[in-house]
Amino acid sequence: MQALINGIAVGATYALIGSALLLIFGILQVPDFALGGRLMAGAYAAVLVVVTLHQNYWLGVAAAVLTAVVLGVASEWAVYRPLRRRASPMGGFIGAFALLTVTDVGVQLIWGPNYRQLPTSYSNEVLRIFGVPVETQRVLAAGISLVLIVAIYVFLRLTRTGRALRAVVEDRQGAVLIGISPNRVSIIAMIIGSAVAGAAGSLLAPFSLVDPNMGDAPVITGFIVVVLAGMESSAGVIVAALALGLAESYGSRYLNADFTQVYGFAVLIIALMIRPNGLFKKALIAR
Amino acid sequence: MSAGVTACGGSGSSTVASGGGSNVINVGLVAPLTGASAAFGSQFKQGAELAIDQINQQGLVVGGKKYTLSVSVCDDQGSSADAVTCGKKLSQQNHDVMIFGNTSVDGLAIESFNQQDNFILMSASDTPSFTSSGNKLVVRTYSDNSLSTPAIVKQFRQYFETKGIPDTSVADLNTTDEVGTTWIASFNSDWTSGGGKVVAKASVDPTDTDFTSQLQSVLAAHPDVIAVTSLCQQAGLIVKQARQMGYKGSFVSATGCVGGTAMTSFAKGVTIGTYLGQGSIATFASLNPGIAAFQTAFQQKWNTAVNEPSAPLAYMGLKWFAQAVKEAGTTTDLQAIHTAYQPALTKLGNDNLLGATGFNPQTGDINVKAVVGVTAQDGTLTPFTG
Repeated sequence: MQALINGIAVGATYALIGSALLLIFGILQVPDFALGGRLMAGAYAAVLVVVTLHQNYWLGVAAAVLTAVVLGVASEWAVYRPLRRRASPMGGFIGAFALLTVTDVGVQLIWGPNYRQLPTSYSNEVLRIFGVPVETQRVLAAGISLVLIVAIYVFLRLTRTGRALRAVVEDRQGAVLIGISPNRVSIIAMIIGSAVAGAAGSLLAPFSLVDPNMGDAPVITGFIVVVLAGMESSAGVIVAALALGLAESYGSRYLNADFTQVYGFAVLIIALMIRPNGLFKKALIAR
Repeated sequence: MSAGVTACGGSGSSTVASGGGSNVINVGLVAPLTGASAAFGSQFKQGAELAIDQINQQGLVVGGKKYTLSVSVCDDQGSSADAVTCGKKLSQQNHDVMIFGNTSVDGLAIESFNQQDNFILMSASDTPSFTSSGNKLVVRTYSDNSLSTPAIVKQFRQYFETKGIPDTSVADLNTTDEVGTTWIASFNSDWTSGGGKVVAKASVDPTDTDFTSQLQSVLAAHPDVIAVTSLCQQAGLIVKQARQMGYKGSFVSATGCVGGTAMTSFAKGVTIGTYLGQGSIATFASLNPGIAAFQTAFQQKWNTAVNEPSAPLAYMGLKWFAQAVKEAGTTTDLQAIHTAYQPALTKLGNDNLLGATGFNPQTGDINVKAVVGVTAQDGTLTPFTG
């Protein structure tokens, strides 16, 4: 039971980051590794508000979201949009890595390399789920992650703007012909994806550590999830993320805990051998 | 005091030159200033630069001439490949007399060419092989794991016995880096030869912050003790997460984290219980007045506390090197300087923060007394004297 609950809790946060990456990739056609930098910058903003300014944790979450959104919009305007106009298809990829490095180094210059904490009133509470002790903040992070994923899904399906985003994913040129501005939807995608990254940073920070590299590992795992899901399906992202979380959890528990990080890649490789285009290529919920 | 800082391309590097004399001794630092180990590497740099400031302020006279130390710093990002690039750059471009690496990652990588490129290599390596290859220009600045863990394990078990705490079974939760893997190997060997059992093993990445998967695996074996090798921040999280998952046993820790507030501040709100860490004399201000003086000077210069064990190691290392050059009476005869590390050690006085008791010029090894630290719930760290 412990392995099941841990796997779901971990998988839910993977799904949140994967959803943000998928949305941005679908619209901008950029593997936005810099999302990890925005997640980290959001966590630092939350530390500033909660620890330095002694404000409420939820104000810290709001600051994290705002910070990540500002950085995301700036990234789209200053880097991704010019690269889309001029560079080769690799331009966005290189731009994303450059942005991640700039964010990591920039935050280190401002805040220094030392680890920081984001304590909350939930940090030391433990819930018992079917008798298994789980940190309340972890449950909160998993729950909010699932709510945000559903919110993105509803937005894409039921709102006019969401349908415009899906139209661009489906057929960029066709969308332009019917009057949808690719630049406008790119900004919207970047705002939503970055807001999710900021929220993820402030939700993960209380039970991990805040440092300039804290976003690197989550964004890599997020991409594994997106690739596993077939690069297109938002429902697939949820299933792939939970599968990954459970694989890590059960693998550590029953196989060998030395290889926790390997299980995710093992699942990815096996899945791609069976279905080279990803597990959910046909199930295009976002379309 | 620092006169200038310049940055170079490639692996990031900067130079701090001090004083106004024309006689300069160039030394190099190789440490991770960016990346996952940046906190550790940055305090290594800060400790070294504090020592350089003090040395230049006091004046370094060698063979009747006054010298200043100039230090170049190269960021290896914790990668041995980048450490090689750093070592080559510092030795060939700056003609450094001595290069100081902050862990075995740098030390073992640069050791392959330091004799050929003609510079002394100091390293806070705790890997046995650093001083067993016959290299005549290496200087170890921390204890060799294989020599220190037998005494440490004995003290761990003595503490548990004294307090009546169960200590038969241990579960490993070691980092996958070189420090973690070599320490846990020595530790397991000494633990089992003393009658203990290793009932579970799991490894964590040095950058991990979520240990639930590994902990659920090791806790299933119901260990009396969990052995960790992480730095203090991660060790604090391991303690916190293990307690929140219901673990009631004890912890022992490698050199990565002796304990104290550096650990407990990351485990707020949980019962620390028994947490024993392997330290050195440098960990305890009560064992050497030089430690408090160093901590005060560090705080004044950098406006931050000493958080990483790398800071006192770097500080002492630079002081030791300067004393060795002075003793040797030369800045160019590296073999003479290397041999002079032995008499220099005895003249370090309170700057011998580690309490090193001997240096072997044949191998480059040092003798360091390992001390067990006991961390109380409030973060107070006291040496266990048996």
